[in-house]
Amino acid sequence: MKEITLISDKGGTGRSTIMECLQQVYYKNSVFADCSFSKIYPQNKIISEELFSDSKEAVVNNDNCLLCGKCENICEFNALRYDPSGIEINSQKCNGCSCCVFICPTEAIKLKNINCGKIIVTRNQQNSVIVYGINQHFSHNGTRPVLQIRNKAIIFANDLNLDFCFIESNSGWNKLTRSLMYYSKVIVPVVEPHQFVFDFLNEVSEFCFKNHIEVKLIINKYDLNANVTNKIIKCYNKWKIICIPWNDSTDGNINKYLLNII
Amino acid sequence: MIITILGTRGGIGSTTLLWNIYKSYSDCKTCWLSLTPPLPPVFFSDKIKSESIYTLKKNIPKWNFETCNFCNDCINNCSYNAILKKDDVYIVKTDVCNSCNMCVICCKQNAYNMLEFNVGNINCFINNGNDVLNLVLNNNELLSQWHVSEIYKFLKSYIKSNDICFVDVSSGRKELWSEIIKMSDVVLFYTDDVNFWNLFYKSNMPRSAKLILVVSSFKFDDFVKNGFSYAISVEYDREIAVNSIHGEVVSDINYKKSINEIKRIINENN
Repeated sequence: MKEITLISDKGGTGRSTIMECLQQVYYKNSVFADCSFSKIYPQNKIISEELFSDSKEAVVNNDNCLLCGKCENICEFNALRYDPSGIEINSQKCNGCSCCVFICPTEAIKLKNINCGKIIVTRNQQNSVIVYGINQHFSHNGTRPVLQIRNKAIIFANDLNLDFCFIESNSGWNKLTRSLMYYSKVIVPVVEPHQFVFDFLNEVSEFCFKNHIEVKLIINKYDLNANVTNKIIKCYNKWKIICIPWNDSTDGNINKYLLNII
Repeated sequence: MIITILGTRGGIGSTTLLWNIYKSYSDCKTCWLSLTPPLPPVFFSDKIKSESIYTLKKNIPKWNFETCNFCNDCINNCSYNAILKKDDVYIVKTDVCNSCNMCVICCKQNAYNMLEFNVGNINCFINNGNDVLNLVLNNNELLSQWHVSEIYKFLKSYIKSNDICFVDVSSGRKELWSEIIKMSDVVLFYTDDVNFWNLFYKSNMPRSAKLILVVSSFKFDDFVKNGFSYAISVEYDREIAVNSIHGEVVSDINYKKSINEIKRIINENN
């Protein structure tokens, strides 16, 4: 099984569109994992749903409270407010660090898990497996469990004995993106001919050279800025480069560019 | 005044829109801040001259070898698994640590004390007499609510009362929205998804900032049908994308009209 990860330097380079097209081209022998937390697939048939809770929140049981006020003093985030009738916790400020739980002499404060979102396994119309995640709009201190989504997809790919697993990461060069890249055989950066793109491509180049990962670059909307496109092609001629022109519609027009991506 | 743009997804032209509004305020002192790379292409030639003007500091516990009795209390009590033990040395992972002080409190030997640690910089350069700032975080840091709140606090002290500061955040970072809305004066909410706005509008989002709904023109009818006719529609096509990628001001007449409308709402009651 080959793991292929799509990355991009910023939003709007067409990573999601390309992922959609890959779903149409490689539906027979692939599993797809969308780790970008930006899209839902309402038409797909849901196989399983799993809540994830990455963050915790303190809750107080005022029956046990002695009103000693220790918790209010110790909280670094000013989330607790002392009131003669009991302790009040501002859930927007609480970071779930459990300092108040530790200091409370009567165990009046406990931590509870907060559900931050869901990991959903679905099948689309062509019956290929798509795993994706959704998160809350206002989750605080929650992180995105991208590796959980990736691992789920890999389990399906292995069980069904499929050839490829396509993973869409979120945009930017950060910890979450890199955590997905470590496992990949092939990285597909999707970029626009934007002048700041070289900072990103240099990082990718260095990372992939160190970890022996193959790179296949997609320059989307290459016709918008011919100068920068030529510069990219010249600089990174060691990679296989696919150029896709600007496209107004998403109905399969760019599928032909993606046929020999692997 | 701080104006921030939030987009539900990439590729609808949120940076382009904000930059064009920025350009139209040429008569007063403005400031640009990019929280996530890249900057708009027009700043490319000036970026080399940038220098750090602010260091983002986080309190990180420092472990003291001499007093520690290796009881592992700190590891067991840390809610974020930020402390690792490697060959009799405790290492605090700075990117996971939330500066909650737990290890300092729970250690009976007082082997931890808090020290300030640099986690990123805000770099600044001048373009046409205006400041352009961009945030550069350390390699393992992820932009979180804490970062956003620290940066906006700095921004409020940095800009003068009549200055207008434009903040660009990359689309889809929902976990930062509540903090951004709380800290900004005006928020442009740019979307093409009416269902999403419907949910968002009914949710318990903070309403301290002036929220302006901006929608892609081809979805404007959907918004009107759902009763959001106050939305401002903005075009996005190939021509605008070409202008934007070359760092030129968009010349489209309808686009200019939309920008003037947004400006009018921003200036209302101010």
